[in-house]
Amino acid sequence: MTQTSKNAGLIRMALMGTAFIALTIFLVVFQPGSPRNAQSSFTLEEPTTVTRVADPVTVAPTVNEPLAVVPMPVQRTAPAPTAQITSSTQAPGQPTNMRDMTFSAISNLKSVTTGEAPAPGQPGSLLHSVVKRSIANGAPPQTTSPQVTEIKPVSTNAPRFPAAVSYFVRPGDTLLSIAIELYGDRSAANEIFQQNTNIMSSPDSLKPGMVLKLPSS
Amino acid sequence: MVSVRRAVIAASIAAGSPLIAQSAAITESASAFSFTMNGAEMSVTRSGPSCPSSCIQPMTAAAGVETLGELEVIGFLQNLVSTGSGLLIDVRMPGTFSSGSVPGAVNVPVATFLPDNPYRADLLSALGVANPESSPSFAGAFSLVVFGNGPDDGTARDAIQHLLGAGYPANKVKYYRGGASTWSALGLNNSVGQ
Repeated sequence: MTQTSKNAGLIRMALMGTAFIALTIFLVVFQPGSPRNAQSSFTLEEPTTVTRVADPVTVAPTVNEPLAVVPMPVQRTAPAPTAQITSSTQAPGQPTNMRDMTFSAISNLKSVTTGEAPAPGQPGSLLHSVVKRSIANGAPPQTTSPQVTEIKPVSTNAPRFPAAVSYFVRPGDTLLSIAIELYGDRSAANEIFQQNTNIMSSPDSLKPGMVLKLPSS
Repeated sequence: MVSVRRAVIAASIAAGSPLIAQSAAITESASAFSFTMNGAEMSVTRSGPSCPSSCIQPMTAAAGVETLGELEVIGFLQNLVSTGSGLLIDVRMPGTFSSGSVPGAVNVPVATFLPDNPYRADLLSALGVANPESSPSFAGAFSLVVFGNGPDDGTARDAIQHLLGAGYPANKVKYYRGGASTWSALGLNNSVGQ
């Protein structure tokens, strides 16, 4: 009795083991759901099964020639949609995600040419491009930095300073960094301090969140 | 029962044979070509793939653009890509590219070369073009070899023509007409997921 129940247990285990191995082999061989199965070679095979389903229609007449043509529209139209789908995804002007595509291409190029993808904010990165774009679209032309740096050495009656008259201090800013950022000139730091003596006791007392008045003429 | 099965098999073979013999378009404008040889009429037709989607491309992509074979592509990889002055560009879609491409190829899909891509200037600057928006200078631009899926894939030619339209000098652009399918068909190795 114990012997038979023991044997039954062994058989059950063996069956379960076999089923497990069979399932594993099936999954390894066929890999359902893998991206490989989504490739076009598989879609090309499907139309042939379509004609086989349609074949019994052509069985009855013995003349093959004219009726053999009948399934052909099925055959010819079946591959056409798949071809159109692939061509429409490649079609120019598909706005799907042109931005992502371009920047992944740029990142591919950068990683090949310079060894690393551009960090956010550096030239070639999406952030850099977006910032440049918004500057070009939003700001009036006289506030763009190239013109400021052009005007700076003149330092006569020409409007030396940007149109902005106040500056919101961010963490990490110093008077020097603000002067260089806004005017491209270290000596402007002192002028900024002179304008803001009412809120700053010394040049070192700059704090994030302060709103500085900027020298405007 | 057996006879029915035989009839089905015979019919399926009969139905399949004209499919193989079916002529397909060769180029956008012509589906077949005919000529005479010693007075006898002969014709060139195509079976299998059909144009609009896979039209056979001419040997030259654009005026002044050199067309390369596999050995020239390998030479390009050895000389210009190795020294960092050339790039091998695969213009297929990213999904197709990641399933395998010519070793050393970089994926830049053809759509990104279109003039209506608002980010094309960024792409050109990544290709070494200085000031792509205002006054482009192509002196430091990479030499490019452009390829697509194969000799019946027009996208590589499109990409080349868009590049030339953007001002890229023709002597810095080359066309590998064989493309990824010919590369694989010759048994040359692919590098997957670059």
